[in-house]
Amino acid sequence: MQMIANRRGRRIATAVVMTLALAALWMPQASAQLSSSAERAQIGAKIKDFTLKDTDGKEHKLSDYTSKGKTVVLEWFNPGCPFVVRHHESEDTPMKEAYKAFKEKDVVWLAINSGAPGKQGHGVELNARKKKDWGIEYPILIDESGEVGKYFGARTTPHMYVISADSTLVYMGAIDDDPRGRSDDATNYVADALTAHLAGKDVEEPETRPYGCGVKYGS
Amino acid sequence: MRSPSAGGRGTPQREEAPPMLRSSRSPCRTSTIPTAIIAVFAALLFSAPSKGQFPPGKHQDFLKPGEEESTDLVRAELLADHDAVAPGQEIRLAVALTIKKDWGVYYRNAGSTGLPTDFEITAPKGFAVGDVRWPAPERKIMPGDMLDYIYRERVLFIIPVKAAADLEPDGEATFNVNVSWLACKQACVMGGAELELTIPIVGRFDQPDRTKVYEEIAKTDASIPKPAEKLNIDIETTWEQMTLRVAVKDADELTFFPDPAKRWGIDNPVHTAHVKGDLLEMPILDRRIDRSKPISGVLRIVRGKRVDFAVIEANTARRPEVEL
Repeated sequence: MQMIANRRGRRIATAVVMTLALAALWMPQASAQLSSSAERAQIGAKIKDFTLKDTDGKEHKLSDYTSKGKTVVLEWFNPGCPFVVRHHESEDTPMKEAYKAFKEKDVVWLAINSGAPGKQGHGVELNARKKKDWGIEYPILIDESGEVGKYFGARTTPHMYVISADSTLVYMGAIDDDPRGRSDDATNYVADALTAHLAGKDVEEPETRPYGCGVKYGS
Repeated sequence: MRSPSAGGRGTPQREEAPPMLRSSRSPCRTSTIPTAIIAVFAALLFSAPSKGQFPPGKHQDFLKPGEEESTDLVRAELLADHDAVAPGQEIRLAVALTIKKDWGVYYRNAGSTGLPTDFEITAPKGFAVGDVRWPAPERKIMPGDMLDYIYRERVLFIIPVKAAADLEPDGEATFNVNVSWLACKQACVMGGAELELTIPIVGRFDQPDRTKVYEEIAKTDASIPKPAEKLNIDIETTWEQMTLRVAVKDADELTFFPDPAKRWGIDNPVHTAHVKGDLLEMPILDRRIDRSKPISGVLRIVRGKRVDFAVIEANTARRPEVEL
């Protein structure tokens, strides 16, 4: 099992207050191509295709990546959530280490923000600014209707999903087993899932409990 | 009578907060000096910048004027139900969290989001520490059919400690509890406190006095969910075709709070784990359910004006196949 350690020693959690984003700019997004939000993504099942726009207005269609043989990682995102802040503001976080370890290995990483207008962390401009500030190399997709988030059953930010090149969901859950960010030898579930999957093996822990802030759905 | 209790403030979220608000430590030591004075003095003495993942000055983007400090959100105290302990005696400690209006902290099963409140307990040699007793939480329903299990306003977590019969009298016993929590309203704030409580050890024939918080601790302890048989309530629990059915005769309302579990979950608990009636039918989601362990949780039972909390379990093991 691959272990990626948190390199920073951590003690009792410090804190950050996150408030609702102020008047966030709104930008139309592509409609997600999902017929029914009642159906949920499940481990071992095929994932429905979807299309969302990123903070630059560029469309991203899941099947465009999987059809090219890419494994896709989805990371639910909210720049106002302290857990997301922790995973992106510092260097060498489990999130960043997993991304760096696999970005050259036919893995596409996409962040998705399913927050509704008026909710914490919503807004194209805010997400674009945080992408730049935090040096996030991959796109942040905007899903303000929450349709894609609800299909995946995304509950927290972050909530991680790994989709195989044949569009099968092989992992869903937390980035690691260290919700308080104070372990020096945390297990990185996403890195473990990618390692196993890319080696043609079953993922040992295909489903874990995610941790973080609730996804700020509108309804 | 001395009160072996003292308050501790949670860790802050704003690095630019005044130094005395920055302390991640909350020493709470009992002595003949009034507790409040010690707490304030200690907070001033031991205050130190919080250490962690959030460097100074980087979060103004998310703050708006008048936003709450984490130190205003949750106040932590370590309490005891007696002002001393005798060899062989069991006393109850309690971590009390007083939570700002409209905010909540999490149950041991946080639910869809959040983070369970966490305790690290240290007792001196000669004391056995029992499991933390968690009061039943309440449900917090959010958009997207998400459901958390939380506490609001004030909650006491009971920690039983038993002194060894051969404990040397005339000393002191110091207990430490590091408690950490996630407080949420619309936003979430992580916090924690390092609590300490020292109480005298008296002779084996002495009778320690009850503290002023004895009644609050005893009342909370009495409300901790108990096995159904101890409550003398007839609860019928059945497990069939991945559905957990719980029936309670004459119940007006039933709510199920599942225990933390890696291998199973209730499908759509917002709608299936609560009913105005006497029968709960909860579809269980996970196909990888560990059948060697029962499904367990706490059942809230309303019958007229009476409310009870029962611990229930359902055995999910398949019946052994009979060889013909």
